[in-house]
Amino acid sequence: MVLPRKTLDAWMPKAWLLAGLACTAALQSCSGEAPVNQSSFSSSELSDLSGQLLEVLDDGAELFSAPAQPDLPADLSAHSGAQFESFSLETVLSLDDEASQALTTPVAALIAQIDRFALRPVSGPNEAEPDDNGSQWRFDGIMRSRVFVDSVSSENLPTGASDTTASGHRALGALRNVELSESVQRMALDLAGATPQSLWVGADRLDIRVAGTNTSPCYRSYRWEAALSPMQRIALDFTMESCPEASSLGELNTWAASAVEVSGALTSLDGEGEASVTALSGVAWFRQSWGNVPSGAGAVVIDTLTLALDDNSHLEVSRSKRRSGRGPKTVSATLHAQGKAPTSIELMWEDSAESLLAASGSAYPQSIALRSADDSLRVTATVMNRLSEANTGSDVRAHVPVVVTGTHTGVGFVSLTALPVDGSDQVGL
Amino acid sequence: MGYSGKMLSRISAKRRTIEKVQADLVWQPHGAPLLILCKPSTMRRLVMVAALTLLSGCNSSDQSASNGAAAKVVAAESADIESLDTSNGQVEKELPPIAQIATAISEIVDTSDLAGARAEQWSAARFATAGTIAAAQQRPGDSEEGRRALVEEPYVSCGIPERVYRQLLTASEATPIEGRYAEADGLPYSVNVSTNNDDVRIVSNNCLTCHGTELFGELVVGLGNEFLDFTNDASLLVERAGALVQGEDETRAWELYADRIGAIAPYMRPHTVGVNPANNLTFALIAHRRAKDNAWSETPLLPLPPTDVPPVSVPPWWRMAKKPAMFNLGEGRLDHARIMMAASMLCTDTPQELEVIDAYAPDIRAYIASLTPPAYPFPVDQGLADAGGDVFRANCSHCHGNYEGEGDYPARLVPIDIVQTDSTLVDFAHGPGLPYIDWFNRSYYGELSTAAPGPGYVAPPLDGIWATGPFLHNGSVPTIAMVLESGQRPRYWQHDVRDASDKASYDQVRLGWAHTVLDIGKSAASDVHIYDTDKPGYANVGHLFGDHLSDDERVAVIEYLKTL
Repeated sequence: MVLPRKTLDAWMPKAWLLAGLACTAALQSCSGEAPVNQSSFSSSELSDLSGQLLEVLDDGAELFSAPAQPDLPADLSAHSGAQFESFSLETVLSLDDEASQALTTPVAALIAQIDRFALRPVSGPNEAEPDDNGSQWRFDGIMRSRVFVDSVSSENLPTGASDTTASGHRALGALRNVELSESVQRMALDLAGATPQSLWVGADRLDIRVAGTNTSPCYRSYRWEAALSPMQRIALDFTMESCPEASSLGELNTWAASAVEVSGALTSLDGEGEASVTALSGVAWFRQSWGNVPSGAGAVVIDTLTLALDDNSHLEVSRSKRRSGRGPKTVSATLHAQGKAPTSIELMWEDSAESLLAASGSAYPQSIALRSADDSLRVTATVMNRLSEANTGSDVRAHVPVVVTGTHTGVGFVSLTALPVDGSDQVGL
Repeated sequence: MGYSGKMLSRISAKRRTIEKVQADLVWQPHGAPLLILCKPSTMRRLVMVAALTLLSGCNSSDQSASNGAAAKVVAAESADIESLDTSNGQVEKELPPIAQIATAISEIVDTSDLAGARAEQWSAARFATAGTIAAAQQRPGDSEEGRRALVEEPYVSCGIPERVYRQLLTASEATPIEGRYAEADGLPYSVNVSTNNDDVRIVSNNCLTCHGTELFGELVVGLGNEFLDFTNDASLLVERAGALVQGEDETRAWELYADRIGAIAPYMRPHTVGVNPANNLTFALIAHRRAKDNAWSETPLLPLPPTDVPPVSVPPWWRMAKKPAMFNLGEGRLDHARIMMAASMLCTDTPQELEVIDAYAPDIRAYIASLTPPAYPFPVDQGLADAGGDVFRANCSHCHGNYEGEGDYPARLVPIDIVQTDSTLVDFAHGPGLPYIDWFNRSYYGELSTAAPGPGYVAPPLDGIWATGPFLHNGSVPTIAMVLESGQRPRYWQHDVRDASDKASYDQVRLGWAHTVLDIGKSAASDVHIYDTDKPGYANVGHLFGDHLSDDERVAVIEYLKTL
């Protein structure tokens, strides 16, 4: 079909949009009478969390006006008037040695996300401001923070590592025991909030600064802080030096910055309250989405893979699947080779026969094999350590780090819907 | 009036030879000896349906010659056709050999001279002989009503739910067409909107997707779009649009459309942006339909066409008033309206649905026949054009017609041995294409029309030719100057622009869109914008009839062509 001239290249950020970013579907506006208590949930409880969210919300999403097409750099700011807004950061981290030089071996991967759901339309310049922030019974929105960390190689200490590095490595290795952290707060009493410069959910926050000497109109600097556990906290700084790719799909807009350099630290408290700091650096994918949340599940789901490869290239792959189980599964891939313009390539995507069982009972492929049409790229992306599921409202999906082996090595992230459970090849909710 | 017995005997002998060769051919989707199909154009894509192609009989010509060089043509099987030796760009004998078919009438013949088994298997297949194609009476129609139907009626009855389509649409894409129903406000000229049986409003491509072009900022209805990109997997975009589809009714509507696109997507991906896959996608649709009632079968009922899609340049609609037969091989005989209805083949599954479309199809044909070409928008040296007219009448009119006064158009179906252009379509017509010809003639479409491909290509009328580049049936030659001087044709090239919007990108000297000649082809670069004449079906050989002209004569003819 000759669809509107949306290019395939533009599908990647959209795919992510659909895949997992937001879509805690059907979040709709209401007067917000039943407060949602601050909560943290383990991955096995996510379905219940989404259920609670949905119960709180009423009809009225249509009252939100459709967002305009992305307009950068103006749209790099927070979108307080939108029904839904989400920032996400996916990063692969390495330890820094004493000279602040990143060691080459990735040691951890982190996925962080902050979402804001407006509960009723607001208007005017201060539309994000609740009418009365002094009552827990009056609030205009709900926010959610998710953090998931997985270690890549907790056992393999880099050769020649100093004591400090070794200590940091152990600290990172301990993150294996950190469950997915998710907290939900109502936007009242400063429990959570959003301004053009900051979003916060409890102790997790994203700060945005425009200041800097960079002349790019899209220059922004960011700090993302998240509590991984009562004893561990991570802070990552990064900047966006140029304007990212922006696009829209439906009533959701997005922009995405790839291969962003990050640096920061993991702070760990020991049993006596002594803090040890582990310097980190890495590469990240950073995205913002905003608009109106789809009112239901689409007929097609999108699985995605984002890989950082050892030749400094980045590969973004998406696959479509019909919920009905019928029709073709289509794969789209874009290769971002260093110093070159992004290129669409043809890839085969094959789920492994081996599967992993998630806490929800859903099964996911343990690995995914990718092969380019010219056979120059043959890699397998394997779930790093463990599964973590998220209920997006329209889908339950695993969104976890992967390790890449084959003609290229590397790490990355996958966002997958579950394998069919009844042999029908249908995609379940 | 027909061929002499001697001539018919030769044609039959040719066919038998071809038949023997083709019987030995194994279906080879990639590479291999040229079997691909032919056809002309017509609607497309999503809709994509289109044209119906029929094949024709002829001999397989030697495709090894390329780039305007060479091609020693030995019309050995036709004593009435002179040999050409164009190896030096010079004609060995007096031109034009085409004069030899001046008295022949293109006739429709059956398959009785084919090898027995194939003739029996595809007994409804028909071919046409070379010569002048006689006019066929067309059903009357109301052109004004036809224009309305063209841009409003759901002759392509499946598509993307309107709600989803509008979400995918950006303002810059929504070039409208004036004077149609309010439901289409905000939608581009290339789609129609309608309501299906589940009350889901759907958007589907209309004929203007391929047969309309924004030329210098203004929509020209009927001008084939030579910049469309079919190189992507059509299924990819349609499937992903499904992510926005919601609810049972929308899902049902979208899934019908997605299924059909999925069935033909592998057969409609040409190598190069700008060429059209209408032939192949039509054959793929035919393969899934039962001839007697047009019913769709998930499992193909006929062999599917090759996935190495032969390219076709979309001819302009305004020539239809002159053309007695549709398509490059002149295969669309008799009632044109019924043939044009093949544009509905994507999702029209019952005779009842076909009858509804047939009620207004003659109106659409009448509208198409009423179109006139856009005037050349740049200055013309009238004195030079007058001189060029003399050269044209002496060298070109025999096939392409006269344009003085009332004018005349001979509608000559020129044997491939004479025109020598890429024979892929012709070759396919006589081999793997037989089942599709047979199907058409047994189908609802065949009740009023006949598919009968000729043994070569029809020399088209040249009205508005300045706007229709690139040239030849496969769009292999970027400018008219290169059509007239084969030695100048580039082996690898690409357009410098991505659409027809910029006057500055039009080459007023050579007539055609600005392009760049390249040193490398598809084997060395994957750029979908490269036109690689080494690819099967993409050859730029043949039509050497301007090579004997002097440079001054060619310049004069080019000036004259601006006035048509």
